[in-house]
Amino acid sequence: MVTEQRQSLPFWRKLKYSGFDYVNYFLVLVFLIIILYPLWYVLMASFSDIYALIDTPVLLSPVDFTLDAYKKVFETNEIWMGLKNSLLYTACGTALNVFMTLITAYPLSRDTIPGKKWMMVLITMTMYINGGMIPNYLVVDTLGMRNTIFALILPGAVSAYLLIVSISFIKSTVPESIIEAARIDGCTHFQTFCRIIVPLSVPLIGVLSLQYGLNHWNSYTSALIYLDERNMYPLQLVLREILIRTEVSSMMNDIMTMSYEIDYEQQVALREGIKYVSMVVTSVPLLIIYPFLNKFFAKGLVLGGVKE
Amino acid sequence: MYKKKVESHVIKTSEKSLGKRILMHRELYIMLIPLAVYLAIFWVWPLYGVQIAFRDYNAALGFWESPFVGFKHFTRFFNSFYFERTLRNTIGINLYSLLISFPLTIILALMFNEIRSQGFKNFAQIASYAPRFLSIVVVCGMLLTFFSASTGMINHILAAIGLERVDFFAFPKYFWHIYVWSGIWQGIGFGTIMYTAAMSSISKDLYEAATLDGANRLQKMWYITLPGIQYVIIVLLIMDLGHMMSLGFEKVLLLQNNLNLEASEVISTYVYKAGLIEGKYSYTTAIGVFNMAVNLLILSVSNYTSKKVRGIGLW
Repeated sequence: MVTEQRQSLPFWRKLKYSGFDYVNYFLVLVFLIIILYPLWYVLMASFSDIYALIDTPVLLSPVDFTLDAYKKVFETNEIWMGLKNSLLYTACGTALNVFMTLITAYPLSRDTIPGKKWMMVLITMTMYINGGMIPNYLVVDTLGMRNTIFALILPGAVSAYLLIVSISFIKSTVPESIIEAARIDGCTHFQTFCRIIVPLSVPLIGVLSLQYGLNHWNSYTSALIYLDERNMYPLQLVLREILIRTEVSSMMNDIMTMSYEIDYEQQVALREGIKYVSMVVTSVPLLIIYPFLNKFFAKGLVLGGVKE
Repeated sequence: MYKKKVESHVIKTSEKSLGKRILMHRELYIMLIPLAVYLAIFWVWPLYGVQIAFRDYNAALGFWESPFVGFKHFTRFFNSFYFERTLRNTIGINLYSLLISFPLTIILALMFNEIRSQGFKNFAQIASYAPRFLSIVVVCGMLLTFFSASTGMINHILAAIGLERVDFFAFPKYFWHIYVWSGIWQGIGFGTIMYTAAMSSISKDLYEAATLDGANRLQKMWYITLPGIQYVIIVLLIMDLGHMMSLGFEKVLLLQNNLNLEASEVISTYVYKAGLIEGKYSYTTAIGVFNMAVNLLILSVSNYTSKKVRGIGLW
């Protein structure tokens, strides 16, 4: 709003920045450095020799450039296996989530359906009341879904929050008159859904896929609870073994076994290097993509807020 | 012409009896079947299973047949050594986090809002979201490597300026600070989205009128922008308060070790360990029920208070 106000001013006024602006720009810059520097450090450290880092705590470019740790990580089967599993879980889980959310959001966006108010109350209740970790686990166990992909994607198939977002999206962007016209022309509700709601909800489908997809990709807890077999581990659990449970993890030992001919110091360096590299290779793809998809993320959040 | 038809259609709908209306909408109900099945299995069934909090759960007997023991598991938790510790850590970390991150997020949103160059504003906002897209495992991995006593960046800096190296994760006293500030680092940028959206919908006329009246930038911020986003502030605050008793175990579990348990054991990690690893199902379900009850209580009280004081509430 400030910019538009300024456009009506003559050009020399537009250039005038006050002391207030300078202070504000300075603070924002400091803030951005605090946010971005740790990320930069990890990236640069992944190309550096770990012992050289001791003498250069402030790192702006790689010191003693090396790609040893990258070679080691790319030779590691566990990471590729985790990546493959994560892609599978994310793709299946997100597809199920989006389908369930859309097919539910359409009927609930119709005001004429009897019992709508109660259904909405029920859906809101699921956000605040639930069985908790143990009863959920017992149900999944009873159904025999442990150590299957179903344990990861079926519980949590619909997020109540994103469902409410979707309902308000359909209500606010798909004109009522189009739906009524389709109905009068003889479309069944299924046809209306497939031919009108879905094509008009492409931005919504974008928001949903990204939100659900990011959650699946980054989550490790349901895999931790429900999976015992190592060859089913998603990427985040593999990372946990490498980054967090370094000392006790057999996975880290597997990665290191090929390196027994080198001395202890080099082993420590390689182990730390592997940590930096695995953080980089698993995070960089998302960090490159998200600025382009940003409007979808922001939109999802704001749409949900408007409803409240 | 269509409009007329539509209107008459709507009037007819509301005049019909309930049974006929349900029959008319049968297709819509069919579309709701997947949700109904999902809720029945993964919401109602576990809720039904919550009764094992009052029983000694035995897998062979199931939820309903296991012997009834009343409040035994609740009293056992209230009297246990873990009650005070987990409660203190859960509420302490949450409160600490809320008290710092809530005002900081609003201040950051105000700073973004005052940036006059649209290009720099977009860049700053999008760049500040970056940590949000890291997984929690990667964030904890970064923390553990940065704070590592022998190979971490923080300790290299301490050593370079002549201080002692510290093994931060070996001492309970550092845990809350590391947990809370890393959480702020990760979430603050993304947290501003709701506020900046609300700020952009404040009428420009208000700012122009204030300028004519001679208000400076700080005054406009204080008297126009902040009251303009008051609704969003209160709603987000109530929602945050509603989670006061629940601290996800994802991050704590990754950062805690046997040396810092005193400051890092929270309700959810304790439930995970005692329940899923040691198999005390009934006992930990009781803890879960207690946790949820307190959450609901806090949510209702804060919603009620805010409605009384400001007339704004979630329901």
